[in-house]
Amino acid sequence: QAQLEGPVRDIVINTNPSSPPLSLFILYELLKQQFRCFGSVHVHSSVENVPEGLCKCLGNGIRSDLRNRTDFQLAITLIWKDVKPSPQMMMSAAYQTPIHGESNVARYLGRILQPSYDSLDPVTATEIDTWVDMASTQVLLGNNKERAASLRSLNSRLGKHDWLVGSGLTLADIVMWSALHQTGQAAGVPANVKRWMVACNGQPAFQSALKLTQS
Amino acid sequence: MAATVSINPATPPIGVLLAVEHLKDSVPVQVQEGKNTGLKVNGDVTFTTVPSICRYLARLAPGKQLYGSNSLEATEVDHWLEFSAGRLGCPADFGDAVQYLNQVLGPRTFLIGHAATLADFAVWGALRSNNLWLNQLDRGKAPPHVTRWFRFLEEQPEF
Repeated sequence: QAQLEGPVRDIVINTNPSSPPLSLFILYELLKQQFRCFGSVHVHSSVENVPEGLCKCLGNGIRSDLRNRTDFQLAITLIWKDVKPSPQMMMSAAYQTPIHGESNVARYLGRILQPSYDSLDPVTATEIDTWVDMASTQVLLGNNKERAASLRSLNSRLGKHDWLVGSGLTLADIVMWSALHQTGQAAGVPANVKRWMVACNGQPAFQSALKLTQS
Repeated sequence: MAATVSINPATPPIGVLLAVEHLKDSVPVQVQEGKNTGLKVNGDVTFTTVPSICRYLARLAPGKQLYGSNSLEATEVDHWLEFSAGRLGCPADFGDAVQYLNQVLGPRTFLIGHAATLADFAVWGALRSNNLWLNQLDRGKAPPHVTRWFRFLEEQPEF
């Protein structure tokens, strides 16, 4: 198993059940393959009727009373809460500003998966960040005009390439796929985007993320 | 590694120019006039937004730590890059965004850690080119912590 520096990393994420951050579920699945993860889910009193799938979204059958938290490398606590902007991530209240937005929480989890992200290849990393920015500011938070423009950029890129950046799946695909689903656009996308979505859907981590929102 | 940034002098990307100035000992960057803001990496890749250009330049010189000194600080930088391009640029949200910034800056000299990062460049640059902010500042209506931070950075030789 991969090593993580320092003591168990304790991550708390507040997020709104009206728009479940699918990218975080995908990243959690990928993190579980590399690290001993401890996931727990809570429902804050500010929200009601959270679907059962979401209440169990990090549940992997581990009973918290049976295992010691220090056995784990990564502890993620997800709290369904009426927060804006959503999600908000907290690691260390004394030393940091809460991280806002699905895109930025995804970037942090991505850096745990790949610590050399920023230094390995500046061009590729920045291309990925450019798509992640687009998913966040133009798709998730954008108006109809901005969403249409994003779909045109996506379709043009995916006409020449199988994935958004490089020759395989990256954070760009994960966050963009999630943004399209959350904004209800997954069904009516242009042909190249459709082909890419089918390829994404074929990945097991994407499948399990989708199932959580359908139960 | 050298790079060339195009800027339109009518709407200079201040955050990018601050990054260029802070990196000049490590990364030689030429600035040329053009119609649009852009940094061409190769035939296929051109970065055109302030966050993307800043990220790329900072990554060329990791030793300068403009992207923070660890993965959490790097993500805090991302948080502020998005804030500067998003909330600060949206007139309807501007008032709340500045209040939020004021609250965060209360106990801080820089946005992250103990030195200027891309976060300070991007947020400072977004304020510097925002008339709503310049109006607040002129009329003495700007929140105190943001004002202190803004003036402090302004006095640094690179700014």
